[in-house]
Amino acid sequence: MLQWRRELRWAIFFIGGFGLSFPFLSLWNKSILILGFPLMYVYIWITWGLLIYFTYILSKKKR
Amino acid sequence: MDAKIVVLASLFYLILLFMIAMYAIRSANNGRSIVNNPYIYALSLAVYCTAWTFYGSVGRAAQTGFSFVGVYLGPTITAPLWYMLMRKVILISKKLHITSVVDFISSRYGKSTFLGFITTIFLVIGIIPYISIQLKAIGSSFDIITQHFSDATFWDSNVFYRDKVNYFTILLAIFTILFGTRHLDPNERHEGLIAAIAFESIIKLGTFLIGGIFVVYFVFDGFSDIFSQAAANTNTSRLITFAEGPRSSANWFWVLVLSAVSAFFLPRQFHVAVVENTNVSFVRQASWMFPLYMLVINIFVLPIAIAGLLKLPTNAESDMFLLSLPLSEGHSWIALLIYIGGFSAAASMVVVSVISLSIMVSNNLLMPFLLKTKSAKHASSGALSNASLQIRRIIIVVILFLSYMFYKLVSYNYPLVSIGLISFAAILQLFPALIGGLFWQRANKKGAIFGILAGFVIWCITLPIPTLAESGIIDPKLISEGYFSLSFLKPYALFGLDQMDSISHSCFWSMVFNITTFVGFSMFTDQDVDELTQADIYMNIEKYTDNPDIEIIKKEASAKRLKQLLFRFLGAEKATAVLNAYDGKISSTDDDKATSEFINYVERILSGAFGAASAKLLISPNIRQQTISIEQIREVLNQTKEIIEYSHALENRTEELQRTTIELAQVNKQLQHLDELKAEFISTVTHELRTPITTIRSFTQMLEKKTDLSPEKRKEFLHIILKECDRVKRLINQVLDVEKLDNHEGNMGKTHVNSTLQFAIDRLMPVIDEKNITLTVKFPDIHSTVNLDEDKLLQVFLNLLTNAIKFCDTQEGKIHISGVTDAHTLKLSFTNNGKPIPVGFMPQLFQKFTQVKDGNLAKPEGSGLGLFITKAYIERAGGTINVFSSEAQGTTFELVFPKDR
Amino acid sequence: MASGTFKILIVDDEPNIVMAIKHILEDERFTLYEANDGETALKLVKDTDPHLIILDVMMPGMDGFAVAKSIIRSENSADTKILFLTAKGTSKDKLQGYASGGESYMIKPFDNDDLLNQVLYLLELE
Repeated sequence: MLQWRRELRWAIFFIGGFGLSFPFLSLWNKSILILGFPLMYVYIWITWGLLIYFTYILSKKKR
Repeated sequence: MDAKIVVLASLFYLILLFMIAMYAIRSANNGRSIVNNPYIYALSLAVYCTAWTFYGSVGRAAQTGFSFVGVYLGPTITAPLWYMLMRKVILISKKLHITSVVDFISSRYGKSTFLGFITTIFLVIGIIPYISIQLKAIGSSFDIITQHFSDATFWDSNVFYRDKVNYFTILLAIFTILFGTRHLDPNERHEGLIAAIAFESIIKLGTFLIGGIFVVYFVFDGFSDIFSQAAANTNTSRLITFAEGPRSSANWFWVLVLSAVSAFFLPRQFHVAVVENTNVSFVRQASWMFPLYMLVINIFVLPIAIAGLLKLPTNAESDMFLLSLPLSEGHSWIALLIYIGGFSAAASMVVVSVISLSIMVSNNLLMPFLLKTKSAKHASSGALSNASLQIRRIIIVVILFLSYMFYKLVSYNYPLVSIGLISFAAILQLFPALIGGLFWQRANKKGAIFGILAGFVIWCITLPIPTLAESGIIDPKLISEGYFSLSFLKPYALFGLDQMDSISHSCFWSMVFNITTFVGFSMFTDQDVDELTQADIYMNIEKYTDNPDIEIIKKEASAKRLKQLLFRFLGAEKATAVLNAYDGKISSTDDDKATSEFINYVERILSGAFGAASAKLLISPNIRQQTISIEQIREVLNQTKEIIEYSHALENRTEELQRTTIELAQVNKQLQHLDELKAEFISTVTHELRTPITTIRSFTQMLEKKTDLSPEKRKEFLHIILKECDRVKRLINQVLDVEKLDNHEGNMGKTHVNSTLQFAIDRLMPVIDEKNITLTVKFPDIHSTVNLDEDKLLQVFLNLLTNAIKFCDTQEGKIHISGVTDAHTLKLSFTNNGKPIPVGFMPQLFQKFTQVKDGNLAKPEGSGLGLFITKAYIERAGGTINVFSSEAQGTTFELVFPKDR
Repeated sequence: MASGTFKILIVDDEPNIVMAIKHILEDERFTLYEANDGETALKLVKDTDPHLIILDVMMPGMDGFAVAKSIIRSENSADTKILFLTAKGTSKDKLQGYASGGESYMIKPFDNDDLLNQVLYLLELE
C-alpha cells in the first residue's frame, strides 16, 4: 500500500513534468480562443488544477 | 495620491503586522499556538510569492506571454514528491537542530566549517540581487502611486537623503531586527514572524485578486472581452500563444527546474518550510494548498498584462501595470490597496530572507572565527549569546545596505524577473550536494566543497558578472570579447555554446561542472570520521528517530564542564531552561562523567544556537574522543544498521508468529474435530466388527461343545459362520476404502461407463438369477467416460446394484437401469421396486454406518459404508448422487456425471 | 420352580445372534420370545410379562437403554430383570446400562457358558 502510494507520487510527477513541458506544450500552442480563453491558457490551468487535485488525493491520510 | 497618505498607510500596515506577530507570540506563550496548523504552514510557504509575483509576473507576461507561469508550475509538478523528500529533511533538521540550509549542508559533510563558510558567502551574494528587486518594486510602486503629486519632485533617487527607497530599507531593517533577533532560540522558532507572513500572504492574494477583478470586469467586460481584443490587436496577439523556439523551450525547462528547487531550498523557503515547521505531516496538506495558492494568484496575470498593453501608454513600465491601470482609470483607492499588497509581498520576502541570511552569516561565517579568538574563550556567562544577537543585528543592516547598493547600481535597470532568476540559479548550485547528501552515502566533504565552488564560479562568470558589465559597472566589452579576451570564454556563450538564453546557459554549464566535480571528488576521496557518522544520520534518519542516541563514537566529558559551557554561551536563564527540558541522565555515576546522551544533547543545543560547525568548535575542547579508525566506524555503523534492521525483522517475526499461532489454533481445532470424528469412526467400526464376531464365536463354541448336534444343524451353523466371516471381510475392505478416501489416494483415470457397467452386471448376474429378479437395462451405447479409476467406478456400480438387489421386492423383484446423455451431462439411474426408504433415513442415507433395517426383512448384508463410499467416489469424479423413493415408483438412485470430452 | 415356567425375551437386531442365544438356552426349556427392535420388544413385554429380557443396545429406532427405561415405568412388569448384551463396552456404557435399570451387563462377543450361567443366576436357579 505504502509502496503503491509512493509509485503513484512518481507517476503523477512524471505526468505533470511531461504534460507541462515542450514539446508537449506545442500541441496547444494555437491562436484559438475557447469560451473566450486562449487554448494554451485553458490547457495550462486545467492541467495545473488536475495536478493539485491528484496531490490533494494523495495527501489524504490512508484510512 | 498624496505621498503622506501612502507613507502613513505603509507605516500603519507595518504596525498592524507587528501587532499580529505580538498576538501570535503571546498565544504561543499561553500554550495555544495559532501557527501550529497546516493552513498557516501553507500560507507561510507562500512567502515564495514576492514582488516578483505581484508586479514582475505581469511585466514578464507583457514581454513574453506565458513564460511567466513556469516558476509556479515547477513547484506544482514536484508537489507529489514533497512529502517523501521534505519529511526526511525535516526529521534530520529536527534531530540535529539545523538552523538554515547552509547548516543543513555543512552538518551533513562532517560539520565542515569551511563548507559552511563558502556556502554562506555564496548565498549572500546570490540572494542580495533578489532582495534588491524587492526594494526596487517598493520604490517603483511608490513612484507610480505618488506620480501625480507635486511633491514628487522632492524625491530624487540620485540624492541619497532624498531617495525614499533608502527610508523604506531602514524601515525594513528595523522591522527585521524586531522580528528576528528578539532572543537567541536554540530552535530558531519565530511564531510571530510566521503569523505575520501568513497574514501577508492573505493580503497579497486578496489585493491581487481585487486588482485583477477590477481590470477584467470593470475596465474590460470579462475574460473573453480581454482575450478577444488581445487576439485582434497586432501588439498583443502574440501573448495568447507561446513564443516558441529552441531558446524558449530550454528556458522553460530550466525555469521549471530552478523553481522546483528554489521553492524549498532558497534560504527563506528552507526557513519557513523546515526550520519553522512544527509538524512533519503539514507538508502533506501544504503540498496541494501551496500550489493552489499559486494557481489562484496567477489567474489574472495575463489579462492584466494584455490590459496594460492595450490601455496604457507604450512607455509605461510593464512591471507596474497592476498599479498603473486603476490609477489611469481614476481609482486611486484600489491602487492604494494594490500598493499595500505589493509592499506586503516585498516586505515578507525581505524580512524572512534577511533573517535566514543573518542566521547563516552569524552561525557559519562569523561565529567560527569569533570562537577561535582568545576573548571568546574567556567570555563571561551569556556574553556570547548576547554577542551573537548583536552580530545578527549588524548583519541584517549590512545585508540590507548591500541590497540597497545593488538596487542602486544594477537592478534599477532590469526587469524584476530577470534578476530574480539569477538568484534561483545560485540556489541550484546547492542542489547536487543536498540531494547527494540525502541519498548517496559516499557523497563527501571534498566533493561538496569543490562541486559548490565550481558551480559558483561558473554562475558568477555567466550571470552576475555579465549583468554588471551590461549595466556598465565593469567594461561592457567583456560580453562580446570574453574573459581575458578569449573568445571561448564569452560569458553568455561559454565554449562557443550560444544556442541558449543566459539563464539556461548558466544553469547548464554550472550543473555540468558542479555535478562532475561533486561526484568525482566523492568517488575518489575518502570520508573522515565525522563525515561518515553524519552521512549515516542523513541516509538513515529513521534509525536515529526511533532510537534516541546511538553511540557511535565513545566520548568522554565532565558533566560539570558541559553545564558550565551551556551557562557561559546561553546565559543563566536559557541554560537553566534547557537543562530543565532535558529528561535523560546527565552523568552515568557520581563521578561526573557525562552520559553520551547528555553530550549529544549539549552539542545539539549549542548547534541550534550557533550552528553545527560552531558548536563543534565549542564543545570539542571539552571532550575526549576515543580514537577510532574509519574502518571501525564503518563497522559500527553497519552494525547499528543491522541491529535496527534486525529489530524491525524481529517485529515482523513477532507479528508473523502471532498470525501463525492463530492459524495453528484453527488447525488444531479442525484436527480436534477430525480426531473426534476418527474416534467415533473407530468405535463404530469396532462395534460393527463385534457383531459378526459375536455370532461366529457363539456358533463355533456350540459346534465345539455340543457334540450331539444333528448334521443339518451343524451345516446350518457352519453356513452362518461362513457368511459372517464374509461380512467381516467386506467390512475390512470398505474401511480400507474409506481410509483411502481420507488420504486422497488413488489417481484419477478415465473409465468407460458402458463396459464397466456391463462388467458389474455380469458379476452379480448369478445373485440376480438366484433371487429371480427381472433386470432391465435401457442404456444407449454411448462411449462416454468418467473421470474415475476403473476399480472405483466398478465399486460404485457394484454397490448400487447390490443395494438394489438387497432391497428388491422379495416376491417379484425388478431392477431397472437406464442411461441418458445430453450435451453436458451423463445421467444414470438404478431403480428397484422394493419398499420405499423410510423418510427419516433419507438425510443420513449417505453417511457412514447408516443401514436401513426393517424387522420384517432378513438382515441385509452390508457394512453401512457402501453408500458413503459410493457418494464419495461419485463426487470425486465431479458428479452427484440423489435418491428418490416412494411406494409407487420404488427407489431410484440417480447419478449425474459431467460429460468428459 | 422349574425352569420351564420362566419366560425370557431376546431382543437383538441381528437375527443370527438371536438364533445363537436360542440355541444356548434351548436345553433349559425356557419359554423364549424374540424381537428385532425396541418397539416390538415393548409390545411383547406387555403381552407376555417375561421374567428376563436379554437386551441389545444398538438397534435401529429405539435403543436398548430406552427400552429398559420404558419397561421399568410400567407397573405390571416390576419384577422383570434385564440383562444387557451389547457390543458397547466402555465403563460409561455399563454405568448407563445399570442406571437404566439393568441387572447385569455382558459384552459381545460373549462366552456361551457365561451367558447361560448369568441367565440362571439372574433367575435364581443357581
